[in-house]
Amino acid sequence: MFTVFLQQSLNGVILGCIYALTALGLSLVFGILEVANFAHGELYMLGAFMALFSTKLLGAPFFLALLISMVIMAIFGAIIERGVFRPIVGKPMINSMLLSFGLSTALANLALFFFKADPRKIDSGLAEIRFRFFGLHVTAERLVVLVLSVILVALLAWFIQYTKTGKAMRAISQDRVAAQLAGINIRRIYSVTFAISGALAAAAGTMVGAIFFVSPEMGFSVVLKSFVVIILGGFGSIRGVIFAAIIIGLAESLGGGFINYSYKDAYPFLLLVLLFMLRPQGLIGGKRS
Amino acid sequence: MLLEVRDLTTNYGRVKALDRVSVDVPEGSIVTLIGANGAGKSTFMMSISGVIRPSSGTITFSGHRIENLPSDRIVSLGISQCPEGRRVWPQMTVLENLEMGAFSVSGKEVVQERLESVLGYFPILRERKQQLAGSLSGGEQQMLAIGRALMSGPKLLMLDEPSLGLAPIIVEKLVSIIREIREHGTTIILVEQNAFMALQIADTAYVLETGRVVMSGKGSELLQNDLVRKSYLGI
Repeated sequence: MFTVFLQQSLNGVILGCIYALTALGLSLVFGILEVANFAHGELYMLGAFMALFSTKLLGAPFFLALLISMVIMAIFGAIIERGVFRPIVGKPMINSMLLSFGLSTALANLALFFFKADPRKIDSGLAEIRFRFFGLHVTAERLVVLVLSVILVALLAWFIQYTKTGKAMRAISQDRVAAQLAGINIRRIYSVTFAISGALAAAAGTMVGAIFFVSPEMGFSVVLKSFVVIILGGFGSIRGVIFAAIIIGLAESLGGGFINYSYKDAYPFLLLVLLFMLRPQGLIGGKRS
Repeated sequence: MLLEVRDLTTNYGRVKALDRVSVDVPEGSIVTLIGANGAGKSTFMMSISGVIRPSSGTITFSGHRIENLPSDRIVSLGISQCPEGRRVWPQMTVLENLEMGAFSVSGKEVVQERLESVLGYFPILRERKQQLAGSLSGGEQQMLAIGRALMSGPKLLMLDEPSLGLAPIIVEKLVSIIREIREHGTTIILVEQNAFMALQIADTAYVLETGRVVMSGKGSELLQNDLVRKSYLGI
């Protein structure tokens, strides 16, 4: 029983890493452009397909496929920022919600049309390598997810804290007009933000495509859960988002393992409802001046 | 003329916030705009900075037409604004705030040099370098905001209500620093509700009322003007 608990917890943490990657991208876009991007899940889905095609059609090894997919989705992210979201930046949130819902539906259905619905798997070549410790089973694939997520999140945190572009991103999220007056090229920063968001989503999608499956509708539940994560973790807080992502991953994994697997997608939302009832000020932080 | 504004009109929906405003700013001078709340002073500054798009009229800055340029290009040309209410980035350190003020500047040495000269104007900021800007007092935040605006090395510095909410002693200090900045060759537009302070240091002054220029002249002349004394100085 205890081993099962540990096994599910480990799976939950790994799942949490995936949610951290998608939620951080979503949270960046939300904080900097003040845009709620419901099409974020489709960046994740398309990223998974890009990696799938790189391995299947180009014969690229897994890590190269991951890189290719991140680069393509970074460019794609910048393109949709420029073409779709730029005109509504600064407008009320309802604009971006409707717009991105439309974009999400369009992209998911285009993917369905062109890529077909049958679930496929990205072959990482790592699934066969298994580790055992303390009675737990881990494939090398899942370990890679864990390590890669940690590396990507660390890179992102470093980028935002120390680079000129990262500082400009923080400045815009704290006061956009002041950023404009300081001479920050906010349009360029918007594009960079979307590119980062796209690349992180692609990484997450690729890793999920290796552990589970790639399919055109895979983005839908992920975007909603990512929103749950940033609501739990507090907007704009990297640490809060990581913490909340892991809690959501655990809730899903443990709930699925011990209560009922069919409702695994419901547990994160139940958690959110509970949170709103018990701690409406948010999980951490609370009051901000 | 360093800055020539001709018939500048800016609308918020149907409301005319600025109505055919014309202002001349000679190089090396201090020009002030005075007026009550809602007279259009801040709108004027934001229109010059490219944050708000004017509906008509022209803005010419040292030979360049800038009324349609994006804000970052306007900063690179040499116009910097310290906005009303300071608007420092509260969750960033003092040093980061200053560094971001030099976003348009390339070359580490230049940024370092500017940083030194800004810290020379405001020594208190040196002590507070690693503190979050949000933890500074109002006066210190105002100095940080002015310092940040100086980091781009502007030819024209626009200060919007720098004295607002500050103790009289600090206002006095601010006045001497504004004079000093001008001595170093930076032209200044000063927007103030504290008309007395503004008129004392300004070469030229414009009085704005509901988006129109109703009066203009030398600072010292307006200080003697009956209407100005009654409406804005309360004498």
